[in-house]
This record gives sequence, structure tokens and C-alpha cells, in this order.
Amino acid sequence: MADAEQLRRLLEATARGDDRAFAELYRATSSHLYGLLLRMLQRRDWAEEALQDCFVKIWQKAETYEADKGAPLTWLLTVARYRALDLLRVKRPEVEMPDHDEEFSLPPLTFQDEAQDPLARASEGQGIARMRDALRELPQEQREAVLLAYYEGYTHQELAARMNAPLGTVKSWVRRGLARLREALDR
Amino acid sequence: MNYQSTKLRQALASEYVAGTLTGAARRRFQRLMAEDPSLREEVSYWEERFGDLGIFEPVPPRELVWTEIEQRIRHTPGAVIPLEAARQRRRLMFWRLWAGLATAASMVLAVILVREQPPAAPLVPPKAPIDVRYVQAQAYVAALKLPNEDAQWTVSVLPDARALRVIASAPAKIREDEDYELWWLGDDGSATSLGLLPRAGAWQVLLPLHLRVKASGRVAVSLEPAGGSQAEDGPSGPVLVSTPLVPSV
Repeated sequence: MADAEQLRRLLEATARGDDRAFAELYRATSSHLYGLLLRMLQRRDWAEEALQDCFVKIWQKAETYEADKGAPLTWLLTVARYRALDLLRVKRPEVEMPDHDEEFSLPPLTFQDEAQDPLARASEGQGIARMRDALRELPQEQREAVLLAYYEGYTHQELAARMNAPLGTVKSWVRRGLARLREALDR
Repeated sequence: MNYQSTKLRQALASEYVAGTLTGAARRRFQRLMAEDPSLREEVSYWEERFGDLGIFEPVPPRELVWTEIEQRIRHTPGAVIPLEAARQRRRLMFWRLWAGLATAASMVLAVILVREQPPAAPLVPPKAPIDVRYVQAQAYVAALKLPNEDAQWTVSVLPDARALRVIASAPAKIREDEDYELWWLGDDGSATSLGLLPRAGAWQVLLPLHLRVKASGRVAVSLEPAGGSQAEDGPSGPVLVSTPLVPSV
């Protein structure tokens, strides 16, 4: 399994047009991006389409990764997350919100104390450990609203429906949750 | 809105990253971010902290996804690889100059691009039944006539084959250090590069899988530095023409 330093080298080689490095980068990271995309998009066809888009973009734009701007896996996941958000905003209005007994079942949204995966662990900075602690300290509704928005791409309206609360209330849960996170992280 | 307040800027950046900043507010924020390094810092702050909490169970994708990616980057005639290779070759010469110019230009052009989009393209398209929108067999054509160019390009799209063909009517007069880039405009206002227009002759490209060919489709041409757009997600040069695809009979 590749560590952060190897991923960084693979990204640099990809930026120079080295397609073997790109293939290796795909092998090392695609399951992480795909896991995120499946979680957010909740449909295999969309997740596969988004994964393709992400890696084509990574191939074209690997040069825009700046090594001092954080862990390479974080950058890759960020690319995937924005792609998923764009797709959701375009596609979800057209379809029902996904049921939870779809073709694959999703585990409940929790975050583990330790990531099981060495790659995920390797890319972690101190900031991430603090982020976890800060999330744990949030009131439950705020934490849930922030996590559902961030990790499942819920809009305010969708949050209101899912959490069975007025729109104004969920908006303030998200806003206050994020503000409190920021305060906790800055402390 | 007063974008100078630190608290507000922090709040907007956090909601942008969380994804709850939507619609026009999101687009406005993206424009502000392009001009404002400190807003970008704010966004990076959240991206790095949220980025990887180990929440997502890794899931191996099916093998066919890689096959499709390879197809898109490698076997597409005239498409992504040549574009990228051209960029590689020319990057050294152009990079320094463009690093400065592109930053300035992209701010202006981001705005131009937003204005160039057809007015009837909201970020979230109106609710529509999804079963009938994707026309499979119908072929589409578009004629691209640029101002100050005698040459005209005829674009035809064969959705079945996911193929897009371009034929130039006459050799294009364009400077050596410039290229025309062909774009696919999505209903959501996104622009997907299909590659550089041939200066002469015919050229075929495989449409990326995520593009849906339908009656409301449009293609556009922008004028770019040699090798194609320098921007992240769309043209970096002026959009010269944008034309709807018309069903061919």
C-alpha cells in the first residue's frame, strides 16, 4: 500500500504525463475515491461515472496539486467530493431520494476512532485528529447536520426533510456547527 | 452582502466546502474566491480538515471503470492525450508568461463565461421526468462559423457510437501560438473540453461517457493559447461562438 510520499511522487509523475504512474495512482487510490463517491451518490452507475470523471481530471490537472497544500489523498478526495456535489445538485432534483435498501446497503454514518486503513492513517495530520475531537464535542443535531451535508451532500432542504425539522432550524444547525468547529480548531 | 466581515467570510467558506452554499450564492462565492487568495485559504482550511476522517470504507471499483478511463485518456483519436501532450511541450515556453496573465485573465473570463451561458440554464435544471430525456438514435449537427474566419466547421454527433465528428470546410487562419478549442456545454452551465479543433480536414472524438446527448445540447468554441485552455474547468480564452445542436434529418 502506498504511503503519502509515494502518492506525491505518483502525482508528480502523472503531471509529467507518465501514464504508468497514473495507472499506479489509480490502483492505490481508486477504492478510496470510489468509497466516497458511493457514499455520497448512493448509486453505482453515478459513482462509476463520477470516478471516471475524477481520474480524467486528475490526469489532466495533476500539475495543480501543490505538495505543500496538504496530503495527496486529501487532495484526491477533495476532487472527488466536489465532483459528487456537482452531480448531486444536477441529478438529485430529478429522482427520489435514495432508499436505504438499494442495491448495496450503507453502514450508518459514524466515524471510527482509528481509520483501519494505513493509507488513510498515513495522510492524516494533527489537524485531522483535532477535527475529530471537535466534531465529537458538537451537540448531536449540529454534528449530524454537518456530517450529512458534508459526507452525503445534503442540501438544507434535504436536511430538513431527513431530520424532520424546519428549514430555518437545520440552517442554523449547520451554520452554528461549522462556527463551533472553527472555534474549537482555532483554540 | 458585506463580504469583508471575517466571521461572514469564514461562514461562507465553511458552507461552500460543506456544500450547503448552493445555487447563485455558490457561483458568486466561486467568483469571489477566484479573486481573493484569503478566501481560498479559508476554503483550503476546511478542505484539509474535513478531507479525510477515515469515514469512507474503501470499495474497489469494477474493472470496466479503469478501461473507460484509459479509453478516455489514451485511445481517443485527437482528444485528451494530444491536448495534454501539446500542453506539455509548450508549457515551458508559455508557463511563466501565462502564470501571470492567466490569473488576471481568468478572473475577467470567469465572469464573461458566466455571462456567455445561455440564460435558460439554471444551476439546477427544472424537475423533469428522467426516462424520456436521453435520445439515443437521433443524430445531431451544428455549424460553427467564427467571426473573421472563412473556415467553417461542421460538427455531427452520433449518440449511438458516442462519436463526434468535425469537418473543416477550409484551412483555418489562426496564429501558430493559438488554438481553437471545442466545448460541450452542459445544461448545468458546465463546459467540457472535447479537444482542439483541427486547422484543416476531419477529426473524430469519442464523447466522454458522462455527456448526455439531447435536444438542448450546445457546443462552443473558444480561442486559446496553443495547447488549449489554461483554466481548471472551462475556457481560459474568449468564447467566440456557441451553437445549439440540431437534430439532423
